Amino acid sequence: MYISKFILMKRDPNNRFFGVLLLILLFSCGVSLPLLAQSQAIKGNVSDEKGESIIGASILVKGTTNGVRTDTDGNFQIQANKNATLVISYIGYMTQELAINGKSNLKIVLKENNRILDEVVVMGYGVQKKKLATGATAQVKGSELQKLNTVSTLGALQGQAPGVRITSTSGHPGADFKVVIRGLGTTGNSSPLYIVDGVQLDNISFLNNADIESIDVLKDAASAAIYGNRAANGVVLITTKKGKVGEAVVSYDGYYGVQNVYKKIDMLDAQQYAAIMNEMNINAGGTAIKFLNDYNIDLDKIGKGTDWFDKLTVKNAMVTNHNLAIQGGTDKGVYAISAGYTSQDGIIGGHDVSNYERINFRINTEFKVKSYLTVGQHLSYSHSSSRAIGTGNGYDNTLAAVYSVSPFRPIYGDDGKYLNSNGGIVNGKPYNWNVEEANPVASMYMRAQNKTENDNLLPDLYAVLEPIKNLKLKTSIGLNVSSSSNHSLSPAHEYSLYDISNVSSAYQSTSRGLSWLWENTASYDFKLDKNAFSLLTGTSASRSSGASQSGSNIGLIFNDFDHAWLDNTTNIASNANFYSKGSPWRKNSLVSYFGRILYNFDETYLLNATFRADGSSKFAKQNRWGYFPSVSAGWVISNEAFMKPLENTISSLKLRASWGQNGNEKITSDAYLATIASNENYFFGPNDSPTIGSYPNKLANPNIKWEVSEQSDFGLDLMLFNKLNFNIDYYIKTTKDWLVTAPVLATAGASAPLINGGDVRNKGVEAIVGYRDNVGKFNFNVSANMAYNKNEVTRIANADKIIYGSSNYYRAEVGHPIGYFWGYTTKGIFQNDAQIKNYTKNGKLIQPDAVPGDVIFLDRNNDGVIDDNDRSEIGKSNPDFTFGLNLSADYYGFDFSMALNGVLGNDIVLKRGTDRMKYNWCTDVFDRWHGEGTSNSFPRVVANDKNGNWTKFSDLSLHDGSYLRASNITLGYDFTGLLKKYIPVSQLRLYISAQNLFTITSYRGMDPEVGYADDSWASGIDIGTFPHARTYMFGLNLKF
Amino acid sequence: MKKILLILSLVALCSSCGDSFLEDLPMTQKVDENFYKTPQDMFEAMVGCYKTLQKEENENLFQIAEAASDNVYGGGGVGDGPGSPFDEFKMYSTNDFCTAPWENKYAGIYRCNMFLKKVSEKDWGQDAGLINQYTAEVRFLRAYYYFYLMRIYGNIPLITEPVNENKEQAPADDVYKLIAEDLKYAIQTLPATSVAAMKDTDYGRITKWAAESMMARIYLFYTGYYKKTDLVGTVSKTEALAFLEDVIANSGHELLPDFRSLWAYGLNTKYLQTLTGDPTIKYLGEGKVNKEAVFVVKYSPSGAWGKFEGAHWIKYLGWRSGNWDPIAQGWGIASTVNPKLWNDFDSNDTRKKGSILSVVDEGSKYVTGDQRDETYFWQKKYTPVAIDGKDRLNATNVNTQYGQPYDFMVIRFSDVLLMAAELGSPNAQTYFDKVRDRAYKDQNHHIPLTTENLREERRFEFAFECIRYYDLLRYGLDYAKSKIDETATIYNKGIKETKIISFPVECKGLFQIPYKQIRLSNYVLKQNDYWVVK
Repeated sequence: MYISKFILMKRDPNNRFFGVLLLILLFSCGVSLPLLAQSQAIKGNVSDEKGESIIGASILVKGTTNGVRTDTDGNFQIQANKNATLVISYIGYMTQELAINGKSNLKIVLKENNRILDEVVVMGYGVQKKKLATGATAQVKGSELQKLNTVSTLGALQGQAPGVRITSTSGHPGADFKVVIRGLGTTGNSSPLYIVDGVQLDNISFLNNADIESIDVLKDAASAAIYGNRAANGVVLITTKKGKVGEAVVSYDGYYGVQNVYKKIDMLDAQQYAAIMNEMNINAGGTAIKFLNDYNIDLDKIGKGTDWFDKLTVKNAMVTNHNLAIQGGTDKGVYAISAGYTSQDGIIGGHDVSNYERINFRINTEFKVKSYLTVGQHLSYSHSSSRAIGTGNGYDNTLAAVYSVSPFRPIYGDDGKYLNSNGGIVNGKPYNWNVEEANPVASMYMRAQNKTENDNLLPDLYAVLEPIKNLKLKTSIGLNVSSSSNHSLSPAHEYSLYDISNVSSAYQSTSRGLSWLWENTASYDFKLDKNAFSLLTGTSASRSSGASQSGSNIGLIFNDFDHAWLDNTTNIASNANFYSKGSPWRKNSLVSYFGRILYNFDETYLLNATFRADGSSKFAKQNRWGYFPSVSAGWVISNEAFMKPLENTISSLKLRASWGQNGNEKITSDAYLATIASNENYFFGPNDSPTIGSYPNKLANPNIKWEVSEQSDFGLDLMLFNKLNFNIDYYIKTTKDWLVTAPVLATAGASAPLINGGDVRNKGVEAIVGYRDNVGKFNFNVSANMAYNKNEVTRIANADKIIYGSSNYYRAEVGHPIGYFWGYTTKGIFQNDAQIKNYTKNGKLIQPDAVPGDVIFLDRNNDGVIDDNDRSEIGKSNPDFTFGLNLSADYYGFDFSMALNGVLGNDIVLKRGTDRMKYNWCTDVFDRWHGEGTSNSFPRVVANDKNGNWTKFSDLSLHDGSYLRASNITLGYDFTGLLKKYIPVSQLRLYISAQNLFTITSYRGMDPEVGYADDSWASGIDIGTFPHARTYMFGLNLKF
Repeated sequence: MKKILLILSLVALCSSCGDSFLEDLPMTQKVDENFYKTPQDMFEAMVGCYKTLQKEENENLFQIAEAASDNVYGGGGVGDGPGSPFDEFKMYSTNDFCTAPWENKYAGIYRCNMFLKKVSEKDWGQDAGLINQYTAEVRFLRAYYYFYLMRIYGNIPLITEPVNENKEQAPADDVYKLIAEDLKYAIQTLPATSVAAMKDTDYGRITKWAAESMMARIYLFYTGYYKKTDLVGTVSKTEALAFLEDVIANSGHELLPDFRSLWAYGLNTKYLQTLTGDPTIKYLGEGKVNKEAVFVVKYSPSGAWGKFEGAHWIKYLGWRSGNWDPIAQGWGIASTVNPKLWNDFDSNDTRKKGSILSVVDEGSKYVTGDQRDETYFWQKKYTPVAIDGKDRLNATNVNTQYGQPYDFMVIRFSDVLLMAAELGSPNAQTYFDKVRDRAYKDQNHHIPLTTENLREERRFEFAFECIRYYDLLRYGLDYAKSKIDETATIYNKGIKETKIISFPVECKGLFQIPYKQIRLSNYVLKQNDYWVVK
């Protein structure tokens, strides 16, 4: 407000305030002129509405750097001109301006800033009063996120915003998250668009929670439409902290915690395992295994054998975070600077094996350089480094091996080295129980010999010109400079028949990238009587480019990880282990034009319309441009005269509706081109020297165009008694012209092109209920959110209407959710021969290979044969419901908070090697069938599984993945009240906190949060996931 | 207001960078529009067509044909699920168990069609001679890929243009017509350069001799299997024989002195010398020294995962028993030999122990493991090779899983001789004796050239070379059934079991059209008889 006054003043040189203005300017120059004669001592007291004095509130003489803070009794004293205005502010309270008007003793009451409807929400290219918002957005305050003490921002966002489903791909330090807003709309890249202070990013893992002011998630099409081109999967707007006018606040936040495994998988010990192996062999028609004679395994001496899971985990892995920030400013300029450090070790293997470390710096400033010109900047730098064990697919996944390795096998052989399962020596005799099995401990250390480092530098500059009041011309240019490097050692080793390499090789890679974004907007706000308009138009252009290089070599001079660099090699042989490659990134360019009208009549009837046009380099010339319109409307019913009688009950009531279209272009740059593969060699002549061949490897599709998601949203916001708030949204989101690689006939001869080949519909409901109140000094706040989503593929544009997954467990098909689990249905266990003989079709046995104890498969198509045609949708990885529950309370200096989140109605495939002879089993094998009537759900164990009990993917492998997790429980105490007489601090809070204190689930794997699958559009395949830790931590918040 | 408009339009102008800003072509890869322009491009494109030769995955023609024949059993690991459908002619599931050959060879056909289309779109002027030579090689390859598919599937769409079309399956005669014409073009176009005159670096390229021999093989298969007198009106019996006689007279191809120097186990010199009792014998299986090889698929030890520069499929053929001379660890697929074959070999025939390893005779270190269809006889013509108890490739720092470097001989000169004998060459008995003389290393084992003797000779000479099964089929389905059907005794994970193999005549020796392709075609493609799910 005062800024606009300022401009008006300038236009009237006779204004009597002009002199004051000059004075303010003089003061703000920081020149230490002696105080003018009119200056006098002003005393005052600051308290809240309940009469509690506020300690550390900032008192600033407006337009100067002259400021003080209230003492422990809320009192202050300041030198000021008697005509001056004071600005009084304190976190959590509404900032007040007070003209001194010659008074010398002031009583100031600050109002708590808890009126939700007066809050401002961030929207694309601006902010808006929440009460005027017509879209479906969710806001999470940075202070709330910070309280959750997670290493990653997305981890903290889990369960905080309904309709935003966040799943970690693993519990590995620094692991990625899958973020799905309002259901999967594509088998392509489904992650939302992240905008950090106006800069578009694909990844926000570098962010420091302490720097975040707020996160606003734009869920409906109308809210996201201003980002048209890339907004089909929703938009996450992140605003970092900006300085506030007032005396500088220095804050330190830090915590230290220890992490431990909270649940282990129970595998069989050596004795149990031996018994099962015997049973498997006997069931297959063989005899009991001669462990001692044939395999040198002495069951009498071996005891329980090796507990591999135990050997992989460490106790009390450390996690810590430290953050120092200073912010402040005058009405001429504000600043916020911070530095942060985060470090986390993994519970598998500990620091030397899995860790993540990050350093953050940030400087945000804004200056009013002329009365009509404001300039500002954000600068953030982060450096992260990590070390990782093998996670992901079954081939290099360290934890997957825990499910298979036998407890017979010791970690070390007689020579003290990792035992080679293919004939390593144990107790003087060769070990050959299972020559193929991996040594998880050895492979953990071997695969952890790597280090990845990332640097991200994000500077941006902006200027806002306000030539006339409320007309703002803004230009901003932002860069994203990124670089990453990795090096690793793959040592020579021989751990099993297959896990073998007789050379050590070093690998090294680097990449760097630069993307820029230049945006120009013009906005104008004006009122005609009760009609309020806010117009915006703008342009945007961006491009990203970069290059990467990598290489590998063998013949190391120093054979250890620290020396694992390419130059540390003697050998440059023509060999599969020697290569170097490099290429530029594809230039990704976008040009956009957009406009928006926000209109309201008397803040009661709301109407917004947005339009955006985008051109992208990823499409052929004729299809480059996409056009994305949206409209939304709202009706604030509580403002109507007829609601007046209810105003004490219904504090506010608003209905909202929106419709809009967004685009998606997250596809590879070559999608429309027919590319030629040129590095395919054939070998003529005697020396096996390569002759280069080329061939068209992909069919062209110049017709591909933008994928469009069209969404309608209906919402209701209700606040009762100013305490109980309630939001509900219903949406239908249809992703049309889904960009998909639909399989083509093999006779086409090259890989399928990307086509606009399908539609996906997501329908859902999201609701939030919140209640806040106080009983005397006891303040509490309860908020629960819930989201329901139903996903269905409605069109796939090829003949069989199916897209297959990389693994045979899941696929996408019309009429089913994306990535549904496709398998056999079981009908119990054959208890006896009669049952098998009676399971016939036209007199033929349906399961001719079955014997009692084998699984009964449902002959779904009733053709007398059990085959793929009997497979159907047996489950899905996406939950029906996701929910979050947040409780917080404070009483005098004590505060308590609890955050829970969970999912309901999803399935997990617990993928075990139970079809393989000699693989270990979980203890649930005790429930197996071993005689008539012993089990009707777990088949017999047998070495040659002719019936396909486990090789046929069925509901036997499927488990309910619902869970409720206490993600965070914190108890804190603010010592400020006790210590205020002795130390000048405004906050000194200590807290203890527990993450993942309990998880309620019926899932029997290590962790029900399973984001992994071979394709990005599926999840819930548990092949051995790095489990989430239980963490206990204590921390300190200090402000002065 | 004017001012505002001015600023707004300036803002708009600044960002309107136009279409050139949005252009983006790949920097490290060619695209369709800038390729196929020069003879060098066409050479590369031709090599791209060759590349498909190497692309064999598990379930390729060689494994299929051997498992289906009376030579070997399906094998593999017991834990890998049900047995081989190719061995037992059982459909264990509708899983696409016959997918890879269809996908890989149609990709090859697409490349050939694209090449031929691009060739036809340009007047090559003075480069025409070179381009014609390339064209001949590409047409040979297209014919070979079609023949490959016809043998497995029998009923396939005929695609001669690089287009993505949902076509019905063509009558077999139409496909063989194209095959015969393509080969004829190759025979007429390729130069009659003898092996000796051939450049070293051209070894592995398709020659006139390869085309002539291939034509004869296809003639024999087609006329036998379809019971016809000529190859779809294009090649008569006389012409087929003439092609072979041309190869015998003019190519410079000849038999190597010792059968056993042809096979990769010969790289283990110690083993080869012990086996033959000849301290001077050497491996001659690769390169121009192998004058016996008329047409080979080249493999190399270089390369990485997924590049198919080595033969993945040969790795599959190794036993599951670790590395001991001369066989290295593999997957035990399609390599356990039917004891009948071992027993039927004459013990004086060097091909017996030159082709089969008897575990009882040679294998003190053998461990059964979870091998399926174990017979304790292993074929050793095509397997990964071990030397001194170590995988040979491992010793040279090559990841053995990425493939084996041993070339696969599609047509050997002994086949040229025996085919010529079969087609009634005036020198038939001489050709027949030549092959036997080499096998017995003397001239004391001559037998009369009768139909059955020739059939048996081919069985011994070409065991494990993807020939026997198609010989059986062309001799007649009932004949095939009489040879293939048996109640076999095998060991699964060391446990003795009986399995019954019954050749279903109604399948005509063909296998399943990949289900996925049928579905993708919206049932325009029809499943082969017998494999239809009832």
